[in-house]
Amino acid sequence: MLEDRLLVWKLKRGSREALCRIYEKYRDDLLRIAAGLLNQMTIAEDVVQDVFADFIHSADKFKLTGSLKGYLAVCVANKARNAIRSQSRQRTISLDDGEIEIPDFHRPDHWIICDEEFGRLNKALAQLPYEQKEVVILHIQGNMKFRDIAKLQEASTKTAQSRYRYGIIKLRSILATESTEVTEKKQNIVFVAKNSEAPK
Amino acid sequence: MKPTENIKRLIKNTKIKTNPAVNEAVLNDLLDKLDKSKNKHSAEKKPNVWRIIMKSKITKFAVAAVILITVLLGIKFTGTPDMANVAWADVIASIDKVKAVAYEQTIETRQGKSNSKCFVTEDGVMRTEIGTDFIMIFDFNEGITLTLDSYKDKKAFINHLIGGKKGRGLHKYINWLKNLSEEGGKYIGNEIIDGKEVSVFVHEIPYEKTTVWVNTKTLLPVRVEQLNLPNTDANIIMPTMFLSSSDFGDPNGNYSRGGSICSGRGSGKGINDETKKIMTNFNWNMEIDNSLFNTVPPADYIVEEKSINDSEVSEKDLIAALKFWTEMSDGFFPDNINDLGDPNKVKPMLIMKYKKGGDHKQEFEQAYDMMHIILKGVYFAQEKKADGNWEYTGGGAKFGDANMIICKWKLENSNSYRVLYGDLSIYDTNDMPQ
Repeated sequence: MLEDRLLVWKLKRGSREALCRIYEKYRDDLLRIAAGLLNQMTIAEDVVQDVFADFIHSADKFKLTGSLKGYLAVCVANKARNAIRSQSRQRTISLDDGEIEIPDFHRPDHWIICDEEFGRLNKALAQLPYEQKEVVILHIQGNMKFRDIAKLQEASTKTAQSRYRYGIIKLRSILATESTEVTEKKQNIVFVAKNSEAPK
Repeated sequence: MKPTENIKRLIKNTKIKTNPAVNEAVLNDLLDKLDKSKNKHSAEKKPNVWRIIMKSKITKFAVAAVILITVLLGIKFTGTPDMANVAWADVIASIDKVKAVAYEQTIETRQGKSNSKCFVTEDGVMRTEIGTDFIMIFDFNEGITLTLDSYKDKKAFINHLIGGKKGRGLHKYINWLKNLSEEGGKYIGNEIIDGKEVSVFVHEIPYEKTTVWVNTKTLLPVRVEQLNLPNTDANIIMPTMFLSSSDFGDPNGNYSRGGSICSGRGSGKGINDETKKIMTNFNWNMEIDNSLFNTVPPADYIVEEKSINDSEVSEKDLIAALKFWTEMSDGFFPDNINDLGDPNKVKPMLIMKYKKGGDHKQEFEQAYDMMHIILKGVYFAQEKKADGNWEYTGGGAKFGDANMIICKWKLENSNSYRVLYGDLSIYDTNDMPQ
């Protein structure tokens, strides 16, 4: 917190080192949040880059009153919403629609390198209603309080807490089902392998 | 573990991997944007109105310290509402509409007299100019003070205030005037100043008298005088000290820094030297260039940054100060608690403790930090003395004696006493300790 205040102040003075530190410190967290909120990794990457760019642009007037991570997370959430709305205007889809796009592991132009665990989690998150997903991500990954998330969602704190609870329950169910499916698939593979053994 | 906790852990701990080449490319792009958006305004830009008053640098530092502490310390008011003057209500309404103000300020202390030009924004950022070469900007919203000293070389001193109250706003500098009526202020009568009729209000509490002259047409103050007197009855001192880098082996004596702590306006405690402050030539609601309040030093200044503990004084400061004293005095506590605030005694101790012949700048900074704690410790004792609930019995005592009472004071709104013993342990007791 103290370091962040100092960094913001230095950034206002045009410190390149401060920008590098803020970028290194929060880049991954913001990308994780954006990737969780958005189903398309390329848009998530754009959102995070835009958030950093806007932050630089407005640093002169910016006053840090809480956590810098929380502030940047809200910026990401706002931009993510705008991005989805912008898409929906073009494709007539709602916040909760859309297919998840996982980037190719080896593509050099992608910022996020998606491994199996990350992809699995984001696929599960993508199945949540947007408001629930937003609360879950901002609360757990963004370390934001329900009160602040409620403000962002223009809802009551209780509503935000309920959305969180339902989101977690649903995620648990999705991931449990997925785990069972994987186990069954593995068992099938073993079964097929056993039955396809060459005759002695 | 509960399944919910499993899910939370999964979400929290799932790591993201990023492409290093893209990381670098994005960062370079952002750095490029930063370079382009760098603020071109300079904090050195000055308004037209100013003239050189002070030449002595040390006096300037002393006066600057007075300004700084007056600004830093909180305000506590006493008094009864006995002025139901309708005109004052109008004055309050007028002050409420103020967006920004500029005024000239004279501060007279035993160190000398200083004229300064002050500018205050609605947000409570203040710029004070002492002479042409000494500018101070106080931004308590950001917790930063900037001092630009171009007396010889161009130097910028940035203090990051840690742990203090934030967002003090315009109130800190001007709005306190509004409270005077509720604090025992009295309407005295009308006078003519510069051919204009003014109403005079006086607010008086122990060790402090404030007089305000208000233009009867604009209903805004045209002159404010404030006299602070020391509380000599309780043997109160205002802790003040200065250190110079030359004390730590800097051959050029490049920097000196000092500080003092006073009880501030409206305390009624008198923990201050005799100080007279006069505010005149008010320019209410003037348009002020925002760049004047920029806490970014100009590029050609040598910048020194420091974090200052701006938290409230506490018994911890007193204990730390006494610990330092005993370490430097063969274990003996000071004969009198005011000795802790005596620069002639403390400064040599600071030099002895921290001057090791190494990096003189680092040694100076360490000594300065300790000096700051000592000042706070002394101030804590002065507050208790001013409250009349303090007794010091540490003279001749040696560190380590757990049965020896060093000092004690009555706790606020309580019948209990706080007692500090010779091993610097501290306890509460319900009986007046002997």
